[in-house]
Amino acid sequence: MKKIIIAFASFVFLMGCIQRDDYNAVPEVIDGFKPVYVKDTTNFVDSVYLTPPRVLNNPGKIYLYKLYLIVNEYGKGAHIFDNSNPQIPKAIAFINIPLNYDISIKNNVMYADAYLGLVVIDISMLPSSINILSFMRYKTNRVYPPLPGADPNFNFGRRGWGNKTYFECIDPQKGLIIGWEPTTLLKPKCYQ
Amino acid sequence: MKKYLLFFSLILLIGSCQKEGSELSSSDGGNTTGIGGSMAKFTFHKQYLYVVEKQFLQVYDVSVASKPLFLRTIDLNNTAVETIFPYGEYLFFGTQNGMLIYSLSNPSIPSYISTYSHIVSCDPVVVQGNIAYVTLSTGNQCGRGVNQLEMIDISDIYNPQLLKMYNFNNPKGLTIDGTYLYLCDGNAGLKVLDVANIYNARVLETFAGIDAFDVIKNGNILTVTGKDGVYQLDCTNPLDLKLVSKIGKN
Repeated sequence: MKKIIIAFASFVFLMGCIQRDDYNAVPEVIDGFKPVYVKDTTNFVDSVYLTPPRVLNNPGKIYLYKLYLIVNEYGKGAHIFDNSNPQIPKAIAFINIPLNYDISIKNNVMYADAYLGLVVIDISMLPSSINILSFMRYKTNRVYPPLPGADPNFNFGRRGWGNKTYFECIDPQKGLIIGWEPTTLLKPKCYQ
Repeated sequence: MKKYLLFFSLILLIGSCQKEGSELSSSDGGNTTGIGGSMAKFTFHKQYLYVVEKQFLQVYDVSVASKPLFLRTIDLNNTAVETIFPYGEYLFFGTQNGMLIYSLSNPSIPSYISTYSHIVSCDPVVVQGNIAYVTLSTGNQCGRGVNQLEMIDISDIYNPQLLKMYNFNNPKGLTIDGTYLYLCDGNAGLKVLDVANIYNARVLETFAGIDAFDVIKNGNILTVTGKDGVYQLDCTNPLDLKLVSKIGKN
């Protein structure tokens, strides 16, 4: 696994280094991406859990199920709202799921994409608890997370054709990169 | 509270009359399934769950909900697949190179039928009757400066044909209900189109102030996700959308 990190890091490093001459042209403040790291993926399911409601930061896809309105927090999980009265949707819980962008629900079972696989969650006890039924690794291998701006799930990343995408430079010491999240960068040193 | 219950049952009642493909299917042998937007990468059909992951379609049998059974991965032979939309016995995929149609005559092994190719772009597809509605937009990695809504005749499923295209600001998610098409047009807001005559589609109403990304219609409520939060709009009169609530972002 370390090899992959190093290979990936050097790859990004090579393509991402800005020459000194160009650096003056980098904006002082610019929208970009920062890596999301994990230490270890073997206990991935431990990072899927219920929390009290959280504030919405980067709303992603939406889903309706029974009285619930579910709003994806881009790459982080699912906000659960009691939407029995659409005039006053009430936040009741948040399900933390790293690298989650999509969900689907049938008969009180939520299927959610996550890092390298599909998490299956019993949500019949919401908002008091959830029960993780299984985690199924995808059979397709995704060696690298999508590079900044290259995530077709989300179009807010706004990458003009031919423009640079800036990101926070990678620090392999922090672990394995499992994805990217939008952020505001201060005169970033790395771009693609 | 009773009022709300009544209101909600009414929504359910209206919602359950929605056409196939809208995913709100309470009548599927007592199953209850949710409704996703047009940007979704997951969908159900019968006891199967379909998950798009990059250029692959993964098929799971979820008849035992707690124990999904992975069946297979199908290579969609496309650089990147963006969205999946079930309609009748078909799956429609919005991809960077166009729209793919797969047959669900054997739902455990969806099989390729045809492709409608367009210039490289992204974004979703919805279907009603013999027409597929596809948006193409810039502002992402597959942008080529095109912002269009395309209407494609799929009456011959083996040979989809472009009928008409319209230019928009930055069209993304969409949904259709009868002759009304609800279109997220980026920072130009949510638009309601009359598509009774697809050769002369007209914008009837614009709900401005939302940088709209995707929309779900459930009864007379539109749920719209935008850059700054989630909006719910009353579309009882599609010519006069009314804000019901907004969940703002931090």
